Amino acid sequence: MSGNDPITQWLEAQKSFIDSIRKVSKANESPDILKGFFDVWQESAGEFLRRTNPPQLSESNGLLDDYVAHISRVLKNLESPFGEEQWSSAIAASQSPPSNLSPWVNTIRSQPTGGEFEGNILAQLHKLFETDKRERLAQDISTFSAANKRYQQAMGNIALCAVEEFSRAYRDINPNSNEQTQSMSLRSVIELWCETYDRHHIQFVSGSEYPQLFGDLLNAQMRLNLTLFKIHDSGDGEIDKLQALVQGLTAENAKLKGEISALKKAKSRAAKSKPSNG
Amino acid sequence: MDKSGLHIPPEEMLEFTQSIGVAFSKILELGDVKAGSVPRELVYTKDKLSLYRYQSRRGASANRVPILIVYALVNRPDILDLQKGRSTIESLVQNGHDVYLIDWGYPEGDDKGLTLDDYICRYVDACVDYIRDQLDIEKVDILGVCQGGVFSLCYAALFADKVRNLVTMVTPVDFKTSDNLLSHWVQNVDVDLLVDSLGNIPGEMLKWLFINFRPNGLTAQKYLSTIDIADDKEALENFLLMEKWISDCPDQAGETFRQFVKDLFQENKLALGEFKVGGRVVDLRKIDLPVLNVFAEKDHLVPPESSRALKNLLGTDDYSELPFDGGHIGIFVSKKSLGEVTPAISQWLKEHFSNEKTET
Repeated sequence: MSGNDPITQWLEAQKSFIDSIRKVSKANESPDILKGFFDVWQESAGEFLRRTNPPQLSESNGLLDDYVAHISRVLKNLESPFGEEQWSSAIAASQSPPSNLSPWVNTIRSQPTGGEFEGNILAQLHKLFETDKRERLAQDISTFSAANKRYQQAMGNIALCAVEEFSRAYRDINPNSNEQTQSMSLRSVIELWCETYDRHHIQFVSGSEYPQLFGDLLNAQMRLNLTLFKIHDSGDGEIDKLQALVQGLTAENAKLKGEISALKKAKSRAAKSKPSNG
Repeated sequence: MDKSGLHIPPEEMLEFTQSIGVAFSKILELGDVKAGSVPRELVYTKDKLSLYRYQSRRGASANRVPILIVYALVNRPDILDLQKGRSTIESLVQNGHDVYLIDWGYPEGDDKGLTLDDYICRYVDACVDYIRDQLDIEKVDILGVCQGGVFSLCYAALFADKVRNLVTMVTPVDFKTSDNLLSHWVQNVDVDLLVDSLGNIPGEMLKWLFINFRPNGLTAQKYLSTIDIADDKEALENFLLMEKWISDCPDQAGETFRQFVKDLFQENKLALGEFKVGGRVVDLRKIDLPVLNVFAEKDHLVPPESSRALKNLLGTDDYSELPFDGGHIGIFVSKKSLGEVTPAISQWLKEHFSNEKTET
């Protein structure tokens, strides 16, 4: 890595992160690959955030340090294949960020199919992992994890391509950046990043690979959800049956009303067409 | 890698952050803004459905046949009357139309069994019958919006004797055009599993799908734009109203969602003439009444070609198209649209007012 400026470190760290995940995903290699990255990431991300945020945010309450430390703790749970202990640890880490960070973490956490589902799944897992339905549950978790990994990996690839293009575009626009001159406003930089990322995103989600990834992820998540609901019987089954019964009766009622209305109309028409006999 | 540092002076960083803070402070100062600029009256309710009436200034006699607006189940109909000067309903009322609007309400757990048959043959039909009874008329004009346009087409095909003119706005008909991203994304989704697992489909999930069209453009970039309007109270109000509308996304009744996505997004049955509602086939060729099809040429949710497919599927010879050079939402709130589209709809309805074929 050349240069000590935070943006360079940040871009390199992102690239390293994505490369690492890709390697682990492809070859199921030792998670040591990730371990090296986390150190780089923590160091560079911390520096980047400190240098690119207003002083009061980074120094007054240690918010950024807390954030970096928290994210690192969560990510470190990826270092070994998930077993029961790792799940518990991941759940605990992801559900209990420092209280002052909760709103922030909640908004930036990746939630490809909605926080509600992920929250439910994590909470339910914690309670139910020891039940006799563990085998089925483990299978569903495994399928979901694999689908989620493929989806996140693809999203990571989009980010990587966008980062590379952004970096090139920024250098083209700002060739003298090493002279500490400013040729782009911060607003322009952000806009450039947003547009670059969205362009890559749209290209990918319009392609043939995305529906399979999205379908696999959502289906795996729903299968897991359904399994959890079945294991953890909430008593909704009886309510569902009664609601279906009400629904059927309502439809039957509407149908009968329609028939009555049609009969009344027919009777009215017949009365009008009947010749008056004085 | 060459050194490519981001040399933004700390002063600019601070000023930029403060500018966003100022813009959002001003938004907060606006308080609880509410959509709606035209007085309306709640005239009918059924389960969670509410039917509102917006009366034209010249009274019901201005246009004897009112317009019934059938909105989508996705998001809320507030977008049709967002604020003064940005209101499709205001424009229609000013053009002398009495307008009725169906507000579907918010489905809850006990609504998950509601079907398309319920929405179209029970709810829309009940509203049409209410208007017919109240005004002593045989037929009404219907304006269907997006998914509500699909409902309106189905209704007109199944209850042809109750509809005089039909206007569809940004309505999908052919769900398998190559540029239909929503359809593209759901092709491998197991919809049965989704509905069996969740019951009603959370509105949050639909919001995520919409953001997936442009993740940064519809979030970070949009919020940055508030810096540009921080000193324009009306623009800030409009921004806040739009934000409220976007975030107000009701859950979808499970069974309706199941049929809509499977039959239409995945199997394109409406365009193929195989779509069934309440056991009856929706044959669009049975729509033998004047139809105006309004679509937006830059619509990413409902691509224009998806709407234009209607042309070759109807039984009527009286078919017109009205393209708008804008997007899916702009067609309801942009000043450009309200200057072009709504007056054109009004003019078309007036031209078909004396339609002897369908007039009582």
